[in-house]
Amino acid sequence: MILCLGLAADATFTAGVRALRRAGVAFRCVDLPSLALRGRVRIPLEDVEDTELSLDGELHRLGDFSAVWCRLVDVSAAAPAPDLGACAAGQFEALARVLEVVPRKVVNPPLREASGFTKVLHSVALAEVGGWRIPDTCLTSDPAEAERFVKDCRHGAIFKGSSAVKTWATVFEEHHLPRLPRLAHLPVLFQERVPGPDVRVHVVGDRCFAERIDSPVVDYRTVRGVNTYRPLVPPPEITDGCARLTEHCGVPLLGVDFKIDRTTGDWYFLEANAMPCFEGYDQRADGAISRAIVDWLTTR
Amino acid sequence: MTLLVLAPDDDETADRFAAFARDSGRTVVVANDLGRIAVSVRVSRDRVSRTRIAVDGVEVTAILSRGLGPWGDEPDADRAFAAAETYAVLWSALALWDGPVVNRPSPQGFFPRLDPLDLVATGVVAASRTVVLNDGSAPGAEVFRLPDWTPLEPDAPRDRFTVVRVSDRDPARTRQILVAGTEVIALDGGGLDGVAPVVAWIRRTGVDFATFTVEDDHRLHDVSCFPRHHQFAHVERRVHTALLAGLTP
Repeated sequence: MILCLGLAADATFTAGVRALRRAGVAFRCVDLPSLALRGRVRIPLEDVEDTELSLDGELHRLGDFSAVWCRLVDVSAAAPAPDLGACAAGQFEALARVLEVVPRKVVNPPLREASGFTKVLHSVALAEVGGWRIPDTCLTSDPAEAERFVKDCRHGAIFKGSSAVKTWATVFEEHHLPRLPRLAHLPVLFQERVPGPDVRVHVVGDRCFAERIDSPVVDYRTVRGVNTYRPLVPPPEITDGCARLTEHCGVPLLGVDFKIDRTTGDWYFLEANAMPCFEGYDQRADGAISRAIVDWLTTR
Repeated sequence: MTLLVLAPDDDETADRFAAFARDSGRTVVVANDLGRIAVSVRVSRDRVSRTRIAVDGVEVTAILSRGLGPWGDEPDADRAFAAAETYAVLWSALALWDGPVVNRPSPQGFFPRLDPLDLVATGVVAASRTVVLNDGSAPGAEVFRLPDWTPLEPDAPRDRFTVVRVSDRDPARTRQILVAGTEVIALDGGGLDGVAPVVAWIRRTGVDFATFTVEDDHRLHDVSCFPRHHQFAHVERRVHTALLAGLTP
């Protein structure tokens, strides 16, 4: 029996639930906003397996489940009332903590991969584990240094935010120069532009599902209908590194992003997402990613 | 030879350490905003990094990190973005910088998650008698509301939207221990029996300024990377000396 913890409104969470249903695996779902609204949690830290979640007359004991499929999202900011928001935030904090230590298979322990909040350290630390190159990188508050870096990039440079807040990679152009003095108050992450396709590798344990994305724009996520998606078999140094990464991070599911330099064929690691929205990739892969997640959850 | 104390504006513990360092002949700046703190992190394709950190135009030679204060509750989207970016910039810069840092950030966190349950899972310590719940009751006189950790009266009525952490511990059998650089100090005069594994675990995460509370039966209650000066007032000079010793380039 699998415990599913997430949001009914989260398409990625429900994609995992549908995969369990298709596979005929028994599961119970707990919708986190409903839990905050009318449910109850009781977590004895002396024995976290005795954690109980009660909702709508059903009581779920964590230790009665063999594994957990979760996508914990702190929904407190969207709560309609402050007390409900506080309840959602408190439950989120407590459950995230328990899911880190409960001796069960968990996809994914929610707090385990923290470096995604700071992109430069994230790329340095994780690329080290994978044994991969990263694009030349400059995070600076110095306008002159940023300008020099951009000019030294053979194929130009992109810039983006350095935190986990979603920003779009943008090509640095001449008209951005007058805005560089603003860096003194908030540095920006500059990287050399790698001309070539993107690759997203979804890693489930040591199994990799890769897709090559050719796009007319620098950040393929910003456009629809014009990208070309094709399955890809990455070279062993990529798949082996991806398997090391899930092991190192302690999270079984990662969405790992690369660029391939079309002039040299070299791969560059960009980042690894411990909460990947995999459902679009999964549809194109005929459900292979979600089946692998189910396999991982149900295999002893 | 400028020492940067990175700390929120209202951090009296940081201010007192800064005063001690100045009295010891160090040039010290307490700051937390990127208008004063300049960073440059360059990383090559083969992951070799070079980091410079300056404050008021002068390169720093050592850093004590007390963080930037709360940042996740900002309701204005632009300010929330700026706060997240500021944290991210300083997190990477302090982690990759090759000078001495007290409480250096790492891939595990700006301050690493030091959850006693992680150490409990290894069998080295026991879990505290603590229950987290949002309805009903549990034995214990120490009650905190989550997620803001506001202390509550144990017998005060609570509605079902209040998530609390209720701990049942005996204050007479509880010791508070401080880690400051190479020093380990029992703040309430108790001994250091049995605390070595906890200290080693804390240090493995890169943290070198922290407090924790432990019961005599090796139940680990809390670990904090934010010791407050009032907790160690009677040994403040010893603590400051230990911290400053770790900040000598």
